Amino acid sequence: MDKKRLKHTVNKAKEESTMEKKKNDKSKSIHDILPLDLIHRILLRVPIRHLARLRCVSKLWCSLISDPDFAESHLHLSLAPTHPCLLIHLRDSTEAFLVHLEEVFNGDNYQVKEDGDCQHLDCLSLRTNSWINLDAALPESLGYMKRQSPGLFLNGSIHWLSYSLQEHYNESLLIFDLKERSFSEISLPEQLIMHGPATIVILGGCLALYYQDYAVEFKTRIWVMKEYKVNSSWTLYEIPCLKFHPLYLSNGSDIMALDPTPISGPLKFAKYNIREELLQHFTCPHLQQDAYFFASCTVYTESLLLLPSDIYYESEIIKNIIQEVSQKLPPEPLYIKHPIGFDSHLEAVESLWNMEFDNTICMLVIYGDGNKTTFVWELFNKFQHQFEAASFLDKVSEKSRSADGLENLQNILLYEMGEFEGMEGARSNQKQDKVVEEDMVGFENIFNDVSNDKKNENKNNKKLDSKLVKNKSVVSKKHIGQEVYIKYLIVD
Amino acid sequence: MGSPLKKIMLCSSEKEIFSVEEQVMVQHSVIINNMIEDGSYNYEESKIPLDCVDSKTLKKVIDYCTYHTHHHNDNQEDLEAWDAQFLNVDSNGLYDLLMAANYLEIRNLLDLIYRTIKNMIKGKKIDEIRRILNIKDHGFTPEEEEQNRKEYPHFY
Repeated sequence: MDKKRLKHTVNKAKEESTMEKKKNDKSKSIHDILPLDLIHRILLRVPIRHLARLRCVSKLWCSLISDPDFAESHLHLSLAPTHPCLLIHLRDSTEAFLVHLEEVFNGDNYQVKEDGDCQHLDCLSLRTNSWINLDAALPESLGYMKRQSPGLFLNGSIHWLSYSLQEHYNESLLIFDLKERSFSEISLPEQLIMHGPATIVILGGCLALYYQDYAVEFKTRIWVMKEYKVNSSWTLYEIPCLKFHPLYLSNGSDIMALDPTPISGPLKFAKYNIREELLQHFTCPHLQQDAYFFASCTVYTESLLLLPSDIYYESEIIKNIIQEVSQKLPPEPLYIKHPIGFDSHLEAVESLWNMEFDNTICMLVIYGDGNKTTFVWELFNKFQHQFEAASFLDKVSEKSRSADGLENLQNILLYEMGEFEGMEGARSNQKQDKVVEEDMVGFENIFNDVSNDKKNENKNNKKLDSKLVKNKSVVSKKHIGQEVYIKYLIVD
Repeated sequence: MGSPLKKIMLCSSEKEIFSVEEQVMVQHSVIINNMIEDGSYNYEESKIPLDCVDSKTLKKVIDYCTYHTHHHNDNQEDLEAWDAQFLNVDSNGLYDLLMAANYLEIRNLLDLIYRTIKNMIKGKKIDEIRRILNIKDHGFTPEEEEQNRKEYPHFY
C-alpha cells in the first residue's frame, strides 16, 4: 500500500477529526473519521468467513480486502492464534467438518461447513528432493530409541516424544532443528510419572503432551510447556475424565477439547481451566460422537492465501479454457495452391458477402465445370475468420449415400459449429450464419426440413452481378426460425 | 523507567493540562516512553502537546492507563468487565479513542478497540453494518450495488 498516501490520509483525518469534534457532528461515517490504515487494521482482525460479506459494505472496504497484501497480513496476524479452527475429516468419506473453536465457546453463531472433495491431501515435497543422512547428528545417548511418536513441527524444529526400552515411561522430547540440522533434547517435567503412552500435541502454539491416568484416578493429564524450551514453564492440567482429546489453549490458559464421555449422541466439546473446573461445554449436532473415533482432527489457521494446489488448479482451469476456446476457433486454413484465374469470381463473391442481412442464413450456390472445389476452398479460407464457427464439408453426395453417412456429416457439421453433444446451441443464434457449401446435392438432405416454398423474391437481387449470380429462390428454414437466402453462383 | 512518584504534563488540543503519574503513561504509551527515555522531557517545564487529542478523549485515555497500571493483577474477567464498561461510548467517542490510542501507541487499548469494532460488525447484515458505522456513501455505483444485492441476497 502506498505509505505516503496513507500517512497523508492519517494526518488529514486527524486534523479533520479534531476540528470537527467541536461541531459534535453525530452523523459522521467511519470513513470520514478513521484514516485508511486504522480501518485496514480493524478488517485484519475479522475472521475470514466474515470478510466476504464485508466486501459489500463499501467500495473502500472492498478494495482494502481484495488487496493481495491483505491476505498476507491477515495470515500473519492469524498466526498469533486468534481464530483456531478444527477440521474433522471422517475416514473413508469425502466430507469434512469445520468448527471455529473460539466462537463455539463465545456463544457466537458457530458454523459447521461441509467441504466437498477433500480426500486429496498431497504430501510436502522437499526442496532438494533428496535424503540427507543425519546419523552423525544423532546424539549417542539416543541411539537405543526403538519407537518414536509422530513428529510435530514447531519453531522451525521437529519434535518427537522418545520412548526408551529400559524405562517404562518417556523420558525426554527429542528436537531436530531443521535449519541447524542438529538434535537436542528437552527434559519432561520432573513430577511427571506416566503409566501409559503419551501423545504430544501443539496447543495454542505451545508444545504439550497428554496421557491417560488409569492407575490412580481416572484423569487425563495434560502438560503444557508455556514457554518454548523453558523447563520451568511446564504447566499441568488435570481433566477429570479419560480419553480427553485436547485441541487448543484458549487465551493461553484454558484447555479446549473433544470430550468423549458420552459414548453416543452429538459430538461434545468442553473447556476446562487449570483448576480442573469445567467452564463450558458445547455439543455439535452435526456430528455424532461415534463418528469422531473414525475421524482425523486437525487444528489449523484460516487464510485467504492460495495453496500451491489452488494455483495448480487455476493453471489447469486456464489450460482447459484455452483448449475449449481453441476448439471453437475456426480451423486451420485448408491448404491449397494459390488458384489462378479466379480473381474476378472472388471479387463477385466478396461483393455478395458484404451484403447486410440480419438474422438470416445465406446460401451461395456455385455452378460450373471443374475446379469448383478449389474455388470454394479459397472462399472458405478467405471468409472463415469472420464466423464464430465454420465447417467445410466436401463430397457430401458421395458420403451421404453410405450407411451412417448422413448422420456422420451432420455430426461433423454440428461439432465444428460447436453445438455437438450438449454444447450450447444458443451461441450463434443472433449472428448471421453463412455456410459455404460446395455440393448442393447432399445439402438439402442435411437440412432436410428446408421447405421449397418460393415465396419472397430477394429484393437485393438487382444489386448483384447478374452475369455470375442468379437469385433463384428464398426458402425458409423452420427449425431455426430464420430466413434462408440462397444465392447461386456460376463458375465457368 | 521513571520513578512512580514523578508526574508528567500532557496538553490536550484545547490546551488543557493533565498531570499524570509518569509510570502510568510510560508503561502504556510507546511514544511517551520514548520521549522520557531519550531525555527530551524536562520535568520542570515540559508539557507534552497532544494536538490531535481533545480533553474528553485524553481524560479517558489517562483513565484507561491508570486503571490498568494499578489493576494489572486483577483477574481477567474483572478487567474485561471494566474494559467493556470503559468502551461503552458512542461510535464517535470510540473512533476518537482509537485515534488517540494509535497516536500515543497504546497497544492494549488499540487491541481492545479493534476487537470492539470488529465485534460490532462481525456477522451482521450489510445494511446493519452501514447503519452502525454510519456509512451513507458506500461508493458503489447503483449497478454494482444492485449486482451485489442480487448475487448475495443473504448478506443484506
